[in-house]
Amino acid sequence: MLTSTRESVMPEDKMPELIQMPSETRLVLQVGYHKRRWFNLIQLGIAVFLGIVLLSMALLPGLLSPYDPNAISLSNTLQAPSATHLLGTDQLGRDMLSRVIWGSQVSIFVAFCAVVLAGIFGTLLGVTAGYMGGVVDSIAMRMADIQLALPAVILALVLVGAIGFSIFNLILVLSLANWARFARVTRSEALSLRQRDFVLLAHLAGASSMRIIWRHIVPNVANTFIVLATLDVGIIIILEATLSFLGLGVQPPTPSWGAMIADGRGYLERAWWICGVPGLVLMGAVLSANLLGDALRDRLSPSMSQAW
Amino acid sequence: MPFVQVKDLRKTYQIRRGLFGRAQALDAVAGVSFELEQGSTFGLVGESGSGKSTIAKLLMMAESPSAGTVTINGRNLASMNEREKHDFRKQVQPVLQDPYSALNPRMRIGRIIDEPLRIHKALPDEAALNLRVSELLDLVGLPRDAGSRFPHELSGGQRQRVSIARTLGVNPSFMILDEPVSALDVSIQAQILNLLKDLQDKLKLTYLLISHDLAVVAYMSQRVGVLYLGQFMEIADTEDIVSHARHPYTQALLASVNARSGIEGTMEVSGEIPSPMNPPSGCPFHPRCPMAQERCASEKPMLRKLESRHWIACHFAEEISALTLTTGEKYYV
Amino acid sequence: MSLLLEARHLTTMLRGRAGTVTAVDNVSLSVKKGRSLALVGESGSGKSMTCLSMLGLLPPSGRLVEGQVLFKGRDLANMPVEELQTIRGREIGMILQDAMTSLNPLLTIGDQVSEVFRYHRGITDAQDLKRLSIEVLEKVKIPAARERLDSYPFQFSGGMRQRVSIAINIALSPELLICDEPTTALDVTVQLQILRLLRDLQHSQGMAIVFVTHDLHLAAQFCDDVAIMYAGRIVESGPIAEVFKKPVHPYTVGLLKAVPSLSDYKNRLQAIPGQQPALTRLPVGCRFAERCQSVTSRCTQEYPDWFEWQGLGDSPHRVACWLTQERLQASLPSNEASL
Repeated sequence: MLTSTRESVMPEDKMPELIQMPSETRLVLQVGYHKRRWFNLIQLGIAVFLGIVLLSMALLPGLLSPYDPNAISLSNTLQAPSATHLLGTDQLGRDMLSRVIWGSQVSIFVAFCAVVLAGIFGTLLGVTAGYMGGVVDSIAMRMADIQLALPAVILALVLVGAIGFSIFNLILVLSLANWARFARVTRSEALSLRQRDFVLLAHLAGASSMRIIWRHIVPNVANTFIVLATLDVGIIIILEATLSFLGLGVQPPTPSWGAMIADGRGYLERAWWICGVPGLVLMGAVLSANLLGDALRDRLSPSMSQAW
Repeated sequence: MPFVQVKDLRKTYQIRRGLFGRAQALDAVAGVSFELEQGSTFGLVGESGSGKSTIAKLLMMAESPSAGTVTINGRNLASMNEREKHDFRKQVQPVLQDPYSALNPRMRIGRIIDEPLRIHKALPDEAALNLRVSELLDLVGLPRDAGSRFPHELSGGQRQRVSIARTLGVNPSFMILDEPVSALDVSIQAQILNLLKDLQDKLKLTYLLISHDLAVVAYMSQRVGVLYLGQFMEIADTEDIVSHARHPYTQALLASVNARSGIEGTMEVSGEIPSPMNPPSGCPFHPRCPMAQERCASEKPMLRKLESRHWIACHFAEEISALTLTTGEKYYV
Repeated sequence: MSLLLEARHLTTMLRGRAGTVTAVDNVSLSVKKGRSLALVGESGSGKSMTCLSMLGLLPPSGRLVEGQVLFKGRDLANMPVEELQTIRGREIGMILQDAMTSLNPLLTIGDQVSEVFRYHRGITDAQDLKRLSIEVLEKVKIPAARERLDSYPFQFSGGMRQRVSIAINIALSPELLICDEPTTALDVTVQLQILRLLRDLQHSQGMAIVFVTHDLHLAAQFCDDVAIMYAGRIVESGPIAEVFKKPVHPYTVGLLKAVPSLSDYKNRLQAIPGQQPALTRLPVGCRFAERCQSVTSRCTQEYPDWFEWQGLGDSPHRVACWLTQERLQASLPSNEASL
């Protein structure tokens, strides 16, 4: 006897909004509606394809990489892309393809860890601030303001100067430079969730604030968190590349896309691929993360995550 | 000793208008007194701004009153400490209007229903909890497998049943029903109302029913109180309210409720409900009342006993039942 | 009496996330000049969709796949948009449930009311527009209309906003007014005012009204004819006094027994068991069969044909129900006409 309302179509009460549109606009949207769905599917396809490629590179570099990324070959320097070196070689004769593949492991691993760390910390702080309000909220938001005001690069300079280079420190820096975004968004979600009847009823049933936050607020911001985190990956990858470019991130001999771009600066005219290849791969990674994030947002958008 | 006794309840909010405006007082509930007998239903009727939802919130202990006392089953709410209040919440349970907002969309029905039991540690283990959930699902007419579903798989009526099941878990004695069927389809309303009635008989529950719909209130309640701008205009047994209403506002409400009801209400009030922040002087209804006199604007009528069990707040109550109601239309200035 | 509006076999499909549903299924209704028709149903019955379909106001995911909408003889469903736009607003008005969303919050009331005159009659003189706007606002009994022209919608209460919305729609004296739950969001005492206003306007301007509502009693108080919708189809229609005094379709009967009423509050309400089927999973045969007390095997196999007879009113009483058809055929052998 229980029917699934998930399958039911747009409820009637949504109709009135659309009546105010002049008919020309509606015609355009009518045409666009079907084309847009195709376009979205293509975007998703690209995102998934790129994502798979990059993840394979990151997880199985040994398998995919044709050469040792650090193998110097002074007789083979500055080779253009060819059959033996698909993406060319750099100024020390190292194979670009192999370097890019090994570089992806670091970039993606670091980005993933940083996003998760920032996300969890930011979300917990944000929902607590949003639900509790008052002093807790003020303190948390001022902290977030500080984080947003400090450019990541300055932060990295200071921290690296203080605690030195290492992958862990890099992840720490990237997380610290990034959590406020999560805190802000999940805080406003928590604020609106606080008004919902089921939160009030839990409170009236005698639930403690901790319980309400953990059982009622956090699960309902999960979708937002996923979308934010996915979109964040692209940002962190670029941030990491920036830091490596400036020499503050991953240190040689570990290959890193940012450092590779930095290396290639002097050779732009003679061997554009030393900058170009890591740059394009970087673009591809960010593009994939963003398209995936967009698709997830469409799928998990508020109207669906409430699923009523 | 009545089961629920409310004496001179008041709730004032301080509303600040705009960024720099000074705070203005809003008397949502302006001195309200009534009683409930155990096992009966008291219906609060009113339109927007009447304060009925605020009264509900005060009795549910969602907010504390600015003044006045609420005594439920012999316990004065204000005199309880936190620990006692926490325990007492088991006895007083709310059912709210919006079935789509009342259930956590990410929790399964079974967990939603047993949450109050878990909070109060009422049952020893998972097995006992599962048993209780099955009992409750039966009680409200839902199938056993509903426990593993999510809210979005249920219709509005089914969700409201889940809300009711949740309240029954901790064996309450008093339930506050705030517009329990207003958001439901017409053919489902009757199902839920009948369910509530049956539960009341079976479990000896006392209900405070809040609604804007006089027909629903008449069906469910033994006694009815009519609210306007935070005060009672009339309180009487259902029969008296429906057939012998004396207050002009009650009569206007009856008139607004439909032809097939069989009551030839010809009176129409003009104008709209004033903002509770700017209540009229004297009797709050006087600007719209077709029978208003000078005294109504200057002197506020107190709720007084007209007959046994029939209370009214109107200076001219004795004259009104003798008046024939005529169609009046007055421009509201 | 001539038919002002006649909708024939309207069928509207809606594309949703889970596929396409038929929101309006073979709906035919008619409105006579100067009379009011109540379109009654619960949520999901298709009553709002029917109105949108008739006026060409469906959202992008909806499409009228079949049917005609004859307004004074012209088919609105197969008309070019430009022509439809001259009819909408001028000869047909539409009032929605929440006046707050149908009024532009950034324009004054005066601007919005005069827009109607500007667009449809091409009047540009400011004085004329002002005069006409005041006239129309006074018609809907807004006090101090002249001073109120410069107010914004948020400064008005709910009832006043609905009056403004009505004013905009009746400004050009349309022959047909479609009202979609215009009083549901208002306080009870204000509802009566608005209904009386609509009825007065109906009489004074000779307007026909289509009144969409879920409230049976409201319909009874206000309208001449009624069409009851269930799961996308009309199940019973006819003069309202007759349909409500002597309902024949089990759904109508059930509905009347299930709605609380002040004249009969002591007896137990008889709830209709179950709930409306989801539009994505409609049963074969009569859609009400699974909830019907008097269901027969034929009901679950074949969708009932229309059965029509002349009752006491001047419009025919129609029903789509096998059992009723059999019962009435037995007692009224000379009066049947199947559609």
